Amino acid sequence: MILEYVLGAFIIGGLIGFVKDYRASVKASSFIAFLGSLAILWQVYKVYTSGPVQGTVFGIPVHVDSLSAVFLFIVGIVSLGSALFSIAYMDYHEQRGKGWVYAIAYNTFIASMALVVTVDNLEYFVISWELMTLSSFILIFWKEEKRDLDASLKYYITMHFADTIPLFLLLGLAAVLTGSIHNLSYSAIQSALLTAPPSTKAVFYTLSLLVFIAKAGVVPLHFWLPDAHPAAPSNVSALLSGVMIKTAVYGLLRFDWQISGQSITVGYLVASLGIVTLTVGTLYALKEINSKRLLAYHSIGQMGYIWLGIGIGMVLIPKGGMLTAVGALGMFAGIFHAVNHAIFKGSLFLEAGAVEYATGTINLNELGGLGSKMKATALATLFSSLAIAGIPPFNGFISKWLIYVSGYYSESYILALGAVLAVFISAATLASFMKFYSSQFGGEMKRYSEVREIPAVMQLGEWILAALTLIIGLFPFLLVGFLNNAVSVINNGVATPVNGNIYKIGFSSVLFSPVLFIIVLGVIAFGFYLAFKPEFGKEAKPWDCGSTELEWDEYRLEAEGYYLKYEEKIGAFYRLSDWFYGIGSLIIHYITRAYLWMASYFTKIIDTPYTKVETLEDLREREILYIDEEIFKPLLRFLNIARDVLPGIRLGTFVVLAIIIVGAIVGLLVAL
Amino acid sequence: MEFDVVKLGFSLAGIIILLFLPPYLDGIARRVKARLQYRRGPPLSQTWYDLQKLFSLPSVRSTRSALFTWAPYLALASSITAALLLPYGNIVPINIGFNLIVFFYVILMVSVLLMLAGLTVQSAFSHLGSAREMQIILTVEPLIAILYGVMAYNAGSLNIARIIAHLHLTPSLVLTYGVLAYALYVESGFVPFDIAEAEQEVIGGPLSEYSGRLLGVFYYAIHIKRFALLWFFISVLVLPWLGTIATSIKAVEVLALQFLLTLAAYPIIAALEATNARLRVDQVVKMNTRMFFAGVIILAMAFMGW
Repeated sequence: MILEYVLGAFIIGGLIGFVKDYRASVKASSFIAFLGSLAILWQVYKVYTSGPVQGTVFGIPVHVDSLSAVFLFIVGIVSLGSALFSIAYMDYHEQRGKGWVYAIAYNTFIASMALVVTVDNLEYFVISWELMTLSSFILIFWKEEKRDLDASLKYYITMHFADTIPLFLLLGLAAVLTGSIHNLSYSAIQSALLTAPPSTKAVFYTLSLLVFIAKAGVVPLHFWLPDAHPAAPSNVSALLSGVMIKTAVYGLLRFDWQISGQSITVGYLVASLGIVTLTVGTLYALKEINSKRLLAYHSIGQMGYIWLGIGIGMVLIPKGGMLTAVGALGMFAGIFHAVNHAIFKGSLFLEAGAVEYATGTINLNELGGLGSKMKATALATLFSSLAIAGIPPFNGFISKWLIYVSGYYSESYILALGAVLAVFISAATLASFMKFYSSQFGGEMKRYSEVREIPAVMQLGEWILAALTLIIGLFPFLLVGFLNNAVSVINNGVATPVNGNIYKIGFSSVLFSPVLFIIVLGVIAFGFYLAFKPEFGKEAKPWDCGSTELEWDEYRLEAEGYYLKYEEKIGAFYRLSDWFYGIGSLIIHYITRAYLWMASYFTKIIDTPYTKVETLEDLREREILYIDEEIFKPLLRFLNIARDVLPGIRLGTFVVLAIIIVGAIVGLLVAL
Repeated sequence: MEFDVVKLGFSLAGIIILLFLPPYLDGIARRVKARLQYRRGPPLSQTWYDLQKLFSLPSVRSTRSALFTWAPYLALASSITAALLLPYGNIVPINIGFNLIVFFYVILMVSVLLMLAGLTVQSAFSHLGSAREMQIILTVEPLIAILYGVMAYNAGSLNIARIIAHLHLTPSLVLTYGVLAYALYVESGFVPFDIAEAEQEVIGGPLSEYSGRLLGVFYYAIHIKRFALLWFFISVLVLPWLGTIATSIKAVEVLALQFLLTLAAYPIIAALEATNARLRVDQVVKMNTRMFFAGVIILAMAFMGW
């Protein structure tokens, strides 16, 4: 089975990190991760051409069906770009050292995500899921910058409470349902749930939804995401935003749809959460000036699109008739958008990393004028930005368009309003990426006149993904069969009646032909260009009203000033959302307090006696004695003394000690 | 085969209309505005003369960016493509996706390229202009989206031909027409919504660094975009109530009607332009937000069957 090679590659990639030299360690492990990703894609291709595979990989039961294949494709393709990019990018973080930690965590992370979407057993699902959380936590924490510590802790605590606990409860529930802890395969749970009472099903839905809402960063459990994703190195951020949150979409489809059976109520819930999420995430991204935080907020927003699409599917598929077809289209579009989002968001994070690598900053207010210095990166960013904004003929347009179509055709007010909001948010995404692109690459600045383009291997990494945004956009039909298999496998064979052929795609009477579109557009543009070639007279600097005092670099609009008036006008929305955000933070705060309260009984501050642990800073900065240390401390102290004293013992002392011991033993024997 | 000739004829008529009419429409507007201000006004072809002049002048280059050079041509191509998606008579010149959302996005691409063009140069004024354009789009797109929602629900399809064939008259549709006229007027950037370019000011908006032929291409693109939005509105307004167009004679009549109504709409637009002064961005944002909530109510009405 090819998955064995995959896991093998990632294990070797992790082990190779133990090489002493930092550069050798990260480069070798990234390269092996690249090979592992290729193996993943090979596995996907195998499943696509010759059907699902089932078996065990190193004792782990796996079943790669069409749904797993789609998500395995996401894992493979984004890891491919990210791993290539890392080969040169990780030099940027050389002064932090700890190459081996990165190497192990990075490889484990990809391997665990590949396992999450392929295992066929709840036990192994939970284990891989936890491994994924743990390794991603290590990667987010890896830079150990003070401002990021809180972000990573917030991530871990949220995952602990909203993922780990519900997952273990789910394990218990599944064990009760199937009657044995040794038989937790998906099919066993599915058949057990068929006859389960509604209340049990409700518990199953609640627990699993909670897990996936938290992991996907869906409102109201999104507050960890915009801090955690930018804290990691950019190649890891690409994996976090591109792939990790998609595992939640996989879980949603697998657990809350296929295993637990169809439920319209859950569908409405998923769709409404999607609508709220896409609005909140994107409108927050609009006012962000840190490029990686901006991208992270968009991950929330785009996740909303995916949930909306899948929600439309969940609501409409059980209804029958024409609506089933519309629903299947919604679910299809949701999965399609998951694939597309992985590709362009992975690419965008890599490009933010490239700019960081070249200039040392990700602050959009400071950046500018890189377009002429980093041509390849600029074009890749433009492609991915237009793709996420849903401008034809890029891939984001196709999937968003199908989501709108399913929403408009749903004959339900909520879902149609969802489609309307999705169109609106598409404009907000465009606004945000207009800012993202042009504040980095637009204009010309003296400050960055020395900037060089990034190394070729990094360009290759970002271009693999950026080129795919255009290829999938032009030939969306290439993916239709692949995605339709996934839709039909979780819907008992109901597939989406997407019609079209290699150069067009459509649903019932609406059709779009990206190829013809680009030909028409290209012919007209080229025709006019050739007929009226631009003629340039003199060159002149942009007119600045004759100012003599103005700094050239300052003669522009800063990123935070772009949409100020608009943001002021929708201030009420921001205040309301801030309030909700505040509640989330408050919950995390109290959970942290509870942990600290427990910690205060297990730890002791020793540099200032009689004080108790009260804040996280205490744990980090004070000298702390843990309870296990305290128990073993006397023994350790004795051993330490023995280590110091023993070499100094002379024969005389030894003889005296021996006589005392012998005397004591004899005395004891006599006494007995 | 005979049908193909007819189709070709209508397509050609459409192409001629969309390429040559837009500057004349602007000429009409200028003439009407002048008359309202008791001036004689320029001849009807004045806009053509202006374009001709611009095309014969070389451009001043203020940046080496390739996007700066290509944006005008791509914008022109987008607006022509958008206009080709519309029905002339009952014929659509190229059928690459006969649906509302594609039309909506192709029209949007003109603005996208306008903004990108403004943002490639190192100039605070053109950056500000682009940001203003984006803020207008941000408020008008949701409005248009919701009106498309009403029409799609009313006709049961997003296909423009099916919408035209299946629309039925309800109170919500009447309201939709009203708000759609407003939304398309804003999207066209007529006074008082000409906030992005701010023509009368010393330094304008996104196009402030453009000159000569490249500026001419951009102006031409914007004229065609305005024409396409108006032609779209007229088609949606009129075609559903004319019954099926079975014969070529009737198709010619319909095309003539579309043409005349487009001509007739321009004096109204010009009168509105002449009697209004430009609004501030925040005022437009406020107005459009209110209109959006009106749109939400209209959509609810449509779902209740009104």
